[in-house]
Amino acid sequence: MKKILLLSSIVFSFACTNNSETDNTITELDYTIYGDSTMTPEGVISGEKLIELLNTQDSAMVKVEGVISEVCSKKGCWMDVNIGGENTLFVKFMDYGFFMPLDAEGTTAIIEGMAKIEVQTVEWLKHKEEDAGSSQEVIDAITEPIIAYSMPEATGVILK
Amino acid sequence: MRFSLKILSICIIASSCFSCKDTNTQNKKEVTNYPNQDSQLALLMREMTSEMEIIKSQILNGEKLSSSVKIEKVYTDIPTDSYVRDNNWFIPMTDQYIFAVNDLLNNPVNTKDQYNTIVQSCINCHNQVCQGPIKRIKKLRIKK
Repeated sequence: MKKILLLSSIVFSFACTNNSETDNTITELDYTIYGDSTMTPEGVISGEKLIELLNTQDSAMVKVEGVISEVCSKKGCWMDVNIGGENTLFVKFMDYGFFMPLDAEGTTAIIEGMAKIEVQTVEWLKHKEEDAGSSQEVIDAITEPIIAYSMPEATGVILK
Repeated sequence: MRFSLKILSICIIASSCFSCKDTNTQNKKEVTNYPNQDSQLALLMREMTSEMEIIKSQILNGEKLSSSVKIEKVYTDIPTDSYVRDNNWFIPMTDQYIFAVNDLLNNPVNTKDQYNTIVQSCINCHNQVCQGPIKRIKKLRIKK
């Protein structure tokens, strides 16, 4: 009987030790996930690496890290992410199934999905400026489409 | 006495294992997919989308059609952009949508076509304002 009690005490003390180690891990891994709840940060690449990939192929399935530079001010249903220098990745979310917090600008994000280079139409660019509350003068000045890095159906986002 | 001590020991071991499990699941922090204050109409649209999935499945399985969503609230619920309701297309397009839904539920003759007519009425409206969900809405279609 004493042996059983001793054994259970040892197991319990180990369990407590493990708990405190896990607590440390929680602090390191503290992040929020939107979309695919099974998403992890493992395998993330830099924005520069993504640009390098898209220079040689049409599209790339990636997890890419960058800093959010703009979020749709109405619903959080799209965002721009800085992926190095002047380069921006335009992101929308799979099936309209999740949005970003409206105040996520400046937050580091890991975004997972198929990235490609796409044309952004004049209509869309004007709509984006309208959402941002830009003046009519700014909106009217948009007359040409642009080619941009894009992820039209991100499956998940981790905000750090 | 010996028996109760054994039970106590088992309980200690079991509880320590469970306490580990609970803590491990906290490795990441999850939040809602919709972190912002959504408008009444946006919430209703989400409800309508789920309802359409149910009706789609009822049609494909040859089941009796039913709906519990109060679709008339489209007329009155507050949209994300208040100006949406001021457009002259808003009421006629909502009328078309409501008519299409009632036609399917009350007079189910050619259900796949009737259902796809509803989906198209959603797309038509979203082409006027808020194109974001169109891709999602198109996935509701029943392929023939």
